[in-house]
Amino acid sequence: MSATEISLPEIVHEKASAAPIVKSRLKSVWLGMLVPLVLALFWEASVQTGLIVGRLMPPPSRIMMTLWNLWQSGDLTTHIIATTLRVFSGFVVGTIVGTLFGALTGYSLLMRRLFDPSLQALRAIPSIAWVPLFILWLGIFEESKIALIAVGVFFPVYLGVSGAVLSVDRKIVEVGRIFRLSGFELIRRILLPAVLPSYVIALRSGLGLGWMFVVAAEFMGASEGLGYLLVDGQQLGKPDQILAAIIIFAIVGKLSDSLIASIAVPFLRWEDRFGPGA
Amino acid sequence: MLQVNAISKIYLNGTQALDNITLKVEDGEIFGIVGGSGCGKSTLLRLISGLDTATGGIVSVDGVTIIKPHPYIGLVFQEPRLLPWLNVADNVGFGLNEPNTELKKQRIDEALEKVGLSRFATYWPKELSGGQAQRTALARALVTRPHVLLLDEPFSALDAFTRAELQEHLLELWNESRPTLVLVTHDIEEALFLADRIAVMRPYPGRIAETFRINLPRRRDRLSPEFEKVKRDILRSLNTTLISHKIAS
Repeated sequence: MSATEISLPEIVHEKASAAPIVKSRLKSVWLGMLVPLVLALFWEASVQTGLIVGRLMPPPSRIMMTLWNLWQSGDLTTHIIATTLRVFSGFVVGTIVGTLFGALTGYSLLMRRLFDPSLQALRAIPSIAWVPLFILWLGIFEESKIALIAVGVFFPVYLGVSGAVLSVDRKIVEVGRIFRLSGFELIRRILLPAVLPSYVIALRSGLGLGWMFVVAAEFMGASEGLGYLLVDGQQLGKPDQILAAIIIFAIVGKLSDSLIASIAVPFLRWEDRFGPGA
Repeated sequence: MLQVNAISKIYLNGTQALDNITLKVEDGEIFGIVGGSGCGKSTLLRLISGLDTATGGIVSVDGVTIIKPHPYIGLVFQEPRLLPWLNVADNVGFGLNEPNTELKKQRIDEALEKVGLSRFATYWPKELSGGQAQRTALARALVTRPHVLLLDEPFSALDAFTRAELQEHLLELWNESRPTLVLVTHDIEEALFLADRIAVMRPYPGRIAETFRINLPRRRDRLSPEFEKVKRDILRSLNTTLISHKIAS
């Protein structure tokens, strides 16, 4: 037998099946639930045994009851929808304007010199400071609230997009140049896909600020919304209602963030990175 | 024909990168440019590609003056520079202006087959080896059928086996349609294996010190005495340019 006779192993190309991914996903969900569940149990037990006075620190069971009652009466849905709509509208406006200015100042040196200093100065203003002015300008109804949320969303999106465009690898831009892409084509075929991963992060932090500012917006006078539940709970001395609203904020905020993250996943499969998907 | 006429390049900071370079490369010729780092060989290639503009002089390809990237000219960079968000096939088709999608797909398939990557058409760049990635980059440049293909140290980041393999492969590809190749490299053996002529560049400011015509028949035997002899000549030329530079400074 000659030594050169080496049979090559057949190369098998297969993508890993989805089952183990789903399994590990479920496992990670349970792991994530562990800490809040233990905390809730501990809290409940402390109140039941009289270790903590439950009047100002209502136990999870009371909060759940409050949530259930709010849900039964249909109020909870109304409040959630009102708040979510405000965040969504403000998020859309802030994202569109932020993306536009971010892309413009990232792409063009002239635009950057023209707009960036003013925008950075505006960013230095605590956004809540706009509240009185927005109320004077836009009234106490939806417009002023959405404007405030939009301002909150604008800055992280603007900074994220502008920074991401600036840091696109020159080497990859040169590939576009060697194939003679026009300015518009260069943006569409190179710059936009290249900034997509940072864009998703910018959107997520923008959305986070949106949820933050909706509370401020609803504090300045609202007859419905989760922020209204907070104010109402404080004025009428209902800590269980405040905590119920806080929990709903946590849930809805997390859900909306996961929504963006999961919408982005199929578009970012190409990424060659350290961590797994969101 | 590629003509480089009295090209010079002075950077904004005053550094003279290239001084009065003139060369003519015939159609279908493989022209090698060797030199140490900093001798301006990459700068010269970028000027020819139209990515950068010269401070003086003219580059022309088949009578067209090159002042910016032109469809006659293809460029393969030192790194593959694949777009990570496109799969291999889409990367190859990236610069192909073919409105007919059926024809476009056909040409991409053809190019992939030529570089032996048909099986990898739907892979992401991150899933490729260094050699496969550079083959993809080669296919991307060749699929547009440039008259002149510029290669900027295209195999320098690869291991010795893959490099030798890709050199052979490049020769085969060249043999099919005989485009003009201009190959910048610091690997004398690579230049000797591929080129019809080799220019030795001298740094500070970059200029061509000497040009060798390589009359060895292809495929060339890297171990033959003739190969060794020319290699020695070129090495000597490179060394003298180095030494003369040292004396000058």
